[in-house]
Amino acid sequence: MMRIEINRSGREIGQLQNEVDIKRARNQYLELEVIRLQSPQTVQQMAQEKLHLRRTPPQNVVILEE
Amino acid sequence: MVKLFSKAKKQNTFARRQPALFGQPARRNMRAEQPWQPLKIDKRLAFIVFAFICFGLIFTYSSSAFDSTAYFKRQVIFDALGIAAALFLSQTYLPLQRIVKPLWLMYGTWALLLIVLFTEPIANVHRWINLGFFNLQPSEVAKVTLVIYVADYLNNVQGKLAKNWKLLIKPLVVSGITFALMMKAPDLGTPMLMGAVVVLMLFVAGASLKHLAVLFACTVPIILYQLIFYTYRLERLLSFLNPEAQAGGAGYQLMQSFLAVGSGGWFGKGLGNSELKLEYLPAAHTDFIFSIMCEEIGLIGVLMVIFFFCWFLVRGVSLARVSKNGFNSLVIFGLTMTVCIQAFFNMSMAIGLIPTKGIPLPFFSYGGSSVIMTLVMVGIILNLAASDAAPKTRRTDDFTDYKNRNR
Amino acid sequence: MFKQNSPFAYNAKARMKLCGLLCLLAPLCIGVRLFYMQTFQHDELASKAERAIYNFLDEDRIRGKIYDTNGHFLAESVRTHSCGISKRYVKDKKQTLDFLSETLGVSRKDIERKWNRNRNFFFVAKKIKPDVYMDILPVLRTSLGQGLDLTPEYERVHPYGDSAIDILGAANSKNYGLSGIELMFNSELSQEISRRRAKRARRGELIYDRSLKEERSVGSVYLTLDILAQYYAEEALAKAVKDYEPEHGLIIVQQPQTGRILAAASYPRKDGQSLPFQFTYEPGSTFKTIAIASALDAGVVTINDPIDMSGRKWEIARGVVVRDNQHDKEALTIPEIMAVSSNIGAGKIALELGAKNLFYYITAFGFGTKTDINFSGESKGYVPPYSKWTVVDTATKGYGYGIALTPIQLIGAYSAIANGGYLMQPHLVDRIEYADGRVQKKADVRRIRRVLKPETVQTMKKVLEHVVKEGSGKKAQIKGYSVAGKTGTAEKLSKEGGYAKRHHVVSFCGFTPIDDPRFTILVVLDNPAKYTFGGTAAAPVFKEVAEGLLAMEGIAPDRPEELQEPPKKK
Repeated sequence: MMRIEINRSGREIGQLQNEVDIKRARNQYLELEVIRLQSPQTVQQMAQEKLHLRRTPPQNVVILEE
Repeated sequence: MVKLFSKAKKQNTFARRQPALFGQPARRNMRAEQPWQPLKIDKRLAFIVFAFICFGLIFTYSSSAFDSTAYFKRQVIFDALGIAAALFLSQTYLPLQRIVKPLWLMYGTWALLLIVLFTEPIANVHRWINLGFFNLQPSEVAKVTLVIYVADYLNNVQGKLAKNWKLLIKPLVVSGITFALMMKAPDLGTPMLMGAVVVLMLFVAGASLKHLAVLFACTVPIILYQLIFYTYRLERLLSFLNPEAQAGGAGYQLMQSFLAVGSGGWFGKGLGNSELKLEYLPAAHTDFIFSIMCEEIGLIGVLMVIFFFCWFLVRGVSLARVSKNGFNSLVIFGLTMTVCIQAFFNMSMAIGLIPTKGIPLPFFSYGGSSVIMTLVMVGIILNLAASDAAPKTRRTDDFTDYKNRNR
Repeated sequence: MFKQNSPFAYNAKARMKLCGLLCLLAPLCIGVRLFYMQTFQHDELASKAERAIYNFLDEDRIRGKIYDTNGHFLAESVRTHSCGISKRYVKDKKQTLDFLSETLGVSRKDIERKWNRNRNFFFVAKKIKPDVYMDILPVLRTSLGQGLDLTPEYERVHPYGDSAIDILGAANSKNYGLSGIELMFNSELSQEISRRRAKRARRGELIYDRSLKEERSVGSVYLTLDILAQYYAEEALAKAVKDYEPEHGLIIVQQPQTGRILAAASYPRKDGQSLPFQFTYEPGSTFKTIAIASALDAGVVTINDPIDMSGRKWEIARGVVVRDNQHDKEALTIPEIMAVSSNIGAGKIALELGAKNLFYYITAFGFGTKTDINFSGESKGYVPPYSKWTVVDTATKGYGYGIALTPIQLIGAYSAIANGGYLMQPHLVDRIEYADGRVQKKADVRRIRRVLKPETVQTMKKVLEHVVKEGSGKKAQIKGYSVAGKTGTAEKLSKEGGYAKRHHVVSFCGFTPIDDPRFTILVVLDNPAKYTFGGTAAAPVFKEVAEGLLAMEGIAPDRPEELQEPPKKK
């Protein structure tokens, strides 16, 4: 009889786990989108196309804090 | 072997005389003064049935994989209702029977069967009437009423059957209509089962083999027609003959059943350990519960169950033979046969001796109508068996008694 | 009641008995059959059942992530699903197909075509995104979803596109590494699922069993790469490829103080094929640095020794002539030799050093052996044993012919000069972090050996600075920063055995800033379409990458005086 209960609980766990996995997968997917949008390629591309910026040479970099 | 069906003891039916007490005359008819006592229920039968119910519940619980409590709870309720009905009937059936004529019962059944044809199909078959809480299956009701009707008819007609085959017509027509209605459902299994029972009853009641052979010859074309016309039945037949080939579709269920049966071993995997019930075996809690049983309690356990059914059969037939009333006898016989043949059909189907049909295993399969009606049958049997024992008359003129008085 | 006289009453009982007995035949058969099944067919059936139900969780392995040194993850496993249909179980074909085509965005015609082509089961769409999956999931339990199946798969996702894919490698949908880091660290990245049983119900749902535990031994690999540095390198390389159309191209960036590889870009970019580790070539003039540094270190020459140019036509041995066409001097000192990249000068110095010594230094610098990185497919180059060197061999090694090396070896040698004389163990992987908290460090700073004396290093730094300031490396100059490096233009051994004029490899290797070098950068372009020199094609690439890196790290100019505008004259 215990066995049946275990089976049933096991199945419920499996289902819940499934849902958790799905939610996590969605999260993951969104995170990936965020990173992709922040990647150097995208940033550079956007900066060039939309804001018409160029990469600045290192001589122009000013460091405010060490 | 010879003694196999004779175990039922004859109840002593002579009226008892209370021995004379000092000062009081001997009383003859004690019965009138006794308070109403419940009719004695045949203990062995009751025991068997009780065991069946318990096991049935256990397996229902274990065989429904996920919502086990739902099926189980419902089955408990059905069992309770059924037991109540059985107990009730076991006391009151005979008087009730006198009120309602069997033919009317048949009319009622036909009405139900017709109704079900016009309700919504469930799983593409018109087998259940949805009554809200549970689904009523008229074909189950038909089993009982048909047996009663046929028994009644045969009782009135006994002795003449062998000579006059025309007498066979009426019961055949009635049965035929019932079967036709059931086959419209479409349901081939139950008509076949009841057909076998009716034939056996006819045989027992004296129909000659000749007539029965003719009858059989007439029905074969109908059966063939039914088989071939409905392709899924043909598929089932083919898959029965060669289950591996059809393992994908129609044969899938059978293959899974084989796997379940085969993987049980001698002692089974233990209660609740069946693996195939996890959606691998369709209808695991109804038609194929036998396979799950094999898997869980193994060969030994299943043999015990089979033995119980055999015991039921033997007990029922003994009671039938012992009964004094032709009607009682036939009814008991017919109902016992119904239950047992159905059980054996189901088992054979699960292990591949017979093509799959939608026949549940009595007491074990989940299904309200099945459980209730089976218990009703049991109640009727008990009642009829017990009422034979009740001293209604002071003397019997059953000649068999005379013959067997030394037993 | 049965009539007394009717003979059939007796028959009834007998008949009942007969029927009863007949009926008992059935259970007998059943029993026999069951017995048969259990004893003879038991094994066969049991194992079939086992196979069908128990599934080892192959498909559900989570794979570890791969990160760059700053924790940006470069590769991750995402669980996707594939939607399939079992024709047999579909209830309402039209409805189901409509629903599918709408949710999945697949045209109905395509689905229909597949439907007709397949017998029972086929996939409608693979790699379904999570939100689409969420739409399909609730439908599965209804009648509309009968026959639909969603199987999970894992896909390796790279948020930075195919940046660094040559290092990362690829993994298949079964989460197994195929190449590159994915392959090298496959066992760390994979989850060790011991063969515990989990049941799987027919529709693919896992039923957790008592004995199933998820063993979290998955590790995540942190590389030493910096994704921004990698990006800069790849951009610069892409530009050079566009301008010069080489067959192959590569850039490595290393931190000379620690040996860490910050970037390793290849062209063409294929997963798992990282040219910096796998490409072998004859280095040409960039190798002069090593030869001359070795000679200086051994003391056979000094910085100001003039080397006779033999009229710019030097016959090493009979029939072998080395020419210097790029200058017209009679004698050159080492700085000048390096600035104009004189083969005669380097060859003569090599002969001065001698085969044995040169060989010793070459091996000390790490050439001819694989680095401990052991990237899949890494080559160890080719340095013939000095006992086999003829005079010509020794001389040609002075200016970079007659040996084959990999870029990672070369940059290690330059880093040795940059960091003060130590050959550092290069690292590609920084650490592995496990899910249970363990951290396995893999990038300890390790000096393999000291190769050059500190004085030699100082001298060489000045020499290399001179190359960039005044010599062939002018295009590598970065305003405001000190840059040291060497150009290289090597002719490739052609198929016929001689040296083909047009097949050449151009390169530049250098580091900046000089006093506290932060990056060693090597650029190699294999067989550019037009005939160019290292100074023309490779040096500007160095400059571009270096500028990006200097800005990235926020390194202040160390020659700020160069930045000042000359005072405006009124």
